[in-house]
Amino acid sequence: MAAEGPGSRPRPAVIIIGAGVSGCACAATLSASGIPVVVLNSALDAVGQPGYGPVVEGGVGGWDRIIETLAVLPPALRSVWLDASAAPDVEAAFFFVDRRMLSIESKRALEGMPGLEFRQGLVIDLKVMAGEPTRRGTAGGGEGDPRRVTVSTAFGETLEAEAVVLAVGLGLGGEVRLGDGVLPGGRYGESSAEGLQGALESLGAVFSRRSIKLGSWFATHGVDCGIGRRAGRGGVFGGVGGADRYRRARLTASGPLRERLEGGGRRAGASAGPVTTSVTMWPAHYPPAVHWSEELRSTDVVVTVGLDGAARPWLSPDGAALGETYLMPVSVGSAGGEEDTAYDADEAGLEEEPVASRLGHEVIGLVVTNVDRTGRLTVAGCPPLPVWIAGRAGGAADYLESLASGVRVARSVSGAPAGCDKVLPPSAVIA
Amino acid sequence: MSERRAVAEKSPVSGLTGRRAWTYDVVVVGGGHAGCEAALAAARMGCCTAIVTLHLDNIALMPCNPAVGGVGKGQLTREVDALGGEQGRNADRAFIQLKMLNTSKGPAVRALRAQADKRLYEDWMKVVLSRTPNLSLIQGEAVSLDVSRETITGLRLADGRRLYCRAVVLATGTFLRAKVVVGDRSYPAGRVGELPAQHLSGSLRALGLELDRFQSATPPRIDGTTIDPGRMVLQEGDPQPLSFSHWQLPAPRKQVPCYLTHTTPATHEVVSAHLHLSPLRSGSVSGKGPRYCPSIDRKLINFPDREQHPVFVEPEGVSTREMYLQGLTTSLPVFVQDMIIRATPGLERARLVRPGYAVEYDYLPPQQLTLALHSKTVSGLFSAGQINGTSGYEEAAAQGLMAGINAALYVRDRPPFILCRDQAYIGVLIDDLVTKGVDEPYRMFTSRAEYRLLLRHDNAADRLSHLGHGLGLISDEQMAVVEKKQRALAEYAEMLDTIQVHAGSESDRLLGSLGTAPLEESQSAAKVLRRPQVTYADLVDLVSPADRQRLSSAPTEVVEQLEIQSRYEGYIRRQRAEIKRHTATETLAIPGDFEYRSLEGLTYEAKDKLSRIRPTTVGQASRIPGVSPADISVLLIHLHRFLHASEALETDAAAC
Repeated sequence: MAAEGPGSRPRPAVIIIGAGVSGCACAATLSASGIPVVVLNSALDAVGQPGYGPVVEGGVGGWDRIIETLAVLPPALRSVWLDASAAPDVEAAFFFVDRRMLSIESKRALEGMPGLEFRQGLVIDLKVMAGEPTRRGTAGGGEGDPRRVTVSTAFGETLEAEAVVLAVGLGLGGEVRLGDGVLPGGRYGESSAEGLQGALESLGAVFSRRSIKLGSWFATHGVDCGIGRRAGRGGVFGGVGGADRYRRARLTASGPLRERLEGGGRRAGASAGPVTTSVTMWPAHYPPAVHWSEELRSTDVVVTVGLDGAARPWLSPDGAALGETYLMPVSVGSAGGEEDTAYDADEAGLEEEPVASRLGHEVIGLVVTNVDRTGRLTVAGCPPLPVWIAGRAGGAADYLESLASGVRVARSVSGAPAGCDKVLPPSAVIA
Repeated sequence: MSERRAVAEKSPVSGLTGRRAWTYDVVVVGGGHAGCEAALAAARMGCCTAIVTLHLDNIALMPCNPAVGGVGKGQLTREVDALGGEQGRNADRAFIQLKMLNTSKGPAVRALRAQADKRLYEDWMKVVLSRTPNLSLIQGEAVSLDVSRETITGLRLADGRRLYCRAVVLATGTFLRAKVVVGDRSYPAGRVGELPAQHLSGSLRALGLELDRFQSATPPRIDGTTIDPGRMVLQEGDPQPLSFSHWQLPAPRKQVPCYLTHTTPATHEVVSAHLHLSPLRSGSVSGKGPRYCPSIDRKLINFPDREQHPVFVEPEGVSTREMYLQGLTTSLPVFVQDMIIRATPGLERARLVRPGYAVEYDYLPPQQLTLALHSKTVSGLFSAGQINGTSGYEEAAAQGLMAGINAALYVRDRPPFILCRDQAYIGVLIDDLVTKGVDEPYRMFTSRAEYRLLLRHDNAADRLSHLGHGLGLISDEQMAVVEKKQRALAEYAEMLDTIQVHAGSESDRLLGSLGTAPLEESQSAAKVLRRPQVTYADLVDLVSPADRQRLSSAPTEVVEQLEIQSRYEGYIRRQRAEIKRHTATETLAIPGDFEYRSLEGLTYEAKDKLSRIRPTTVGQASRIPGVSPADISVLLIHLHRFLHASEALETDAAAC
């Protein structure tokens, strides 16, 4: 253990930078394998909050992918995801999460996991110390424990660990575009991880640019009448895709999700075996909680139905406490903002033209491309570094991939061979 | 899309249409405790209202202590509730511990304090806002005010959207050009992890408004499972908690304990050894911080002889293990924070989760405001909360409510709503701010009120609800509840006057056991209740069985007020007489265009201050720092001469 002194603390085994979807999945999985972990996030009130809208889609993998991803989550975190989810009563492989509930309950669940600690801090630097060769030569060099990663925060703290997982979403060199307006950050309104990009670069990380287009939000009471009028008329949805139809669907609680999980997926060939699910509860002796209200499950959503008969999400409530409805973006080309939002609202038939509570926007950030299948940073000609990238920063394209990548990285980090006294095999850091 | 009129029908400026412009009566900038009250008040008064906030996920966030109320502050929250505000009701929804403070002291300093689950508090407020008719929530950064002929016409957002409106309420909290600081490190943020508002200050300056810097700070949070409760004093909530709200009882719940510990000489040694690293010393914070909510570093500088300072360890909610360290506010480097915590009994093994930090921000010195929280130079511009140089959620909510009400009245061309110092703590707060200004973040204390025996926690509704009802913020049903209680109070007070306590061995014995003298002759129950040793419950035992039945049916809140009114009757009467005596000069109106510069006999300083602040009454003038009683005598002579000369002005202005 490192000595205590100005700016440093005894080091945990693993530091996870970022506590979004992949960071939480990674932390929970590591804790489940008995590995001490510190989760650093710039704002602890945002822990577990999905940053990119309330829709979780199975995509081409369909339900099997959803089931398989949820099946590998540690049970406590899986319960949180199921509790915070609702699915529409149409044949479609997607569901909605209550983002607020996921945030509060993820933090509650993770705080209770052994060896898992949260720490508030904006990370501005990262170093792999003591003789770890990098592409540009030797960083640190000289004395000390060779298995050392140090992470520094904007408040001058330095934390040490044997491995670090970056789960910063699109925060690396991130910017948020609202039409002409540009804000820093990997998601709207948050401070960006400015120093990290340079630190990774000097370790030999290679980046590519990635962007996510986000829809807009409207006050739920404001869009009710709009949806009603449009959906009530029925018929053909004349916007994107031309021949799509739209319809109203009723949201049901996560029951169907649980059934599928417990049944081990729907198709015979699904690889996930039966999974036991449980319902966490908001204890009766606590003050009443909005996020446990039934409201999310008693709301209508509007979906589009393609020629193939498959439904896609369109207008969906964003949780019980948020009081907002999320509108999927249909406009293409530009970077969100006023113009796109107005187009989307028009397409969705929000004829009252309510003001958007949140404008559609585009998040652009860097993705580390030289990672191996387990998410580990691999620099050509160098021994493996004790640095893993999880979630969007490692190339995950949606929530399910982020969850899966969090779990995968955790397994790779903890993949200690038998007989290893520490949680990490020495080879993982020294090579 | 030729026309975009989200709300145009309801709006007085519906002529303004066009693409990408929405029209409101009132736009509130900021979604904290001031912003929420301002927006709710304006919307509930029927104005088309919008809240513009940097982040919709952080509505009504409690970035410092997740608690509402306390001495002085609790009275403000009760007054907000009595006027139809939301803070009290929301605290009732989200509290995890509720406690009446100072129950052993006089009624003037009794106050309720709620420890809240901060996440639930935010959630409930967001739900209330999103269900309020006439109210839109907009995420975005306000960058500039549109002003034409010194009058607000709208607001522009960073994303290019434009909101037309007649009034703007600024409730930006600590976000204007803000930076967060620990030791010698800092970065731009309104709160840790959140982007600041970088542009609005420039727009305010361009309008000729003066801005200054203040600083505030928050203590570290620790993991509640790493404390040693055995080494601390258990602090439990009241077994049968009251409520902040006058209208609804909180849902039952199990309360969560807090703990009390103290700093030790060892703690102080750590602080002293590292004081040179404090941003207060190193100069990385330039703004002035709160004297009455000082950091531990500041406490050691100010009170070097004190061997210990209390530290309350308080849960941040039921959904988290994090705990707040009230009393250990600091922005010393993080490793020093660790050492401070571990040198404190019961926290030796405590694990730091969120480092404490300071935040420095722009505020608008409040002498630029009228008593309606209305800018003196820009019509339609109001401000509330920390931007006015205050601290505290309760001070913020009180100003927010008043700014929202006054913005709504302004939009309707109705006269402003002003509370006086003898009506409410809210009146004291606003009069202090706009008359005296602030040289550090302002915090409410009972000692700031001249008539605190009248401005009690228990009688907030009696003092204010009829005014809230008149404004349309208190419903008929709510008013009926207040009136019913007042009728009951009068009824029982009369009963006490007529019911006799008979002298005799039985009453002697009872009174003796209470430690008070026997009766020489029969007395009215009212008179007996004036004895400090006799409670209402004792009184019920002292009267005849028939009377006993009548008296024992009194509701709890009536009993409380009967006791206070009887016991403090003398003091209360004296304060009322004092108010009456002062009223004549206190409320003597000064015409808005009164010329001070030419007055003979006034000191230069008084002329300067009076011309700048432009008090609306002689009472307000007398409280301006630098204006002496002699200046007031001179002013009165000139004023009487002026008023006699132009009696037509007589009817104007009398605000209070």
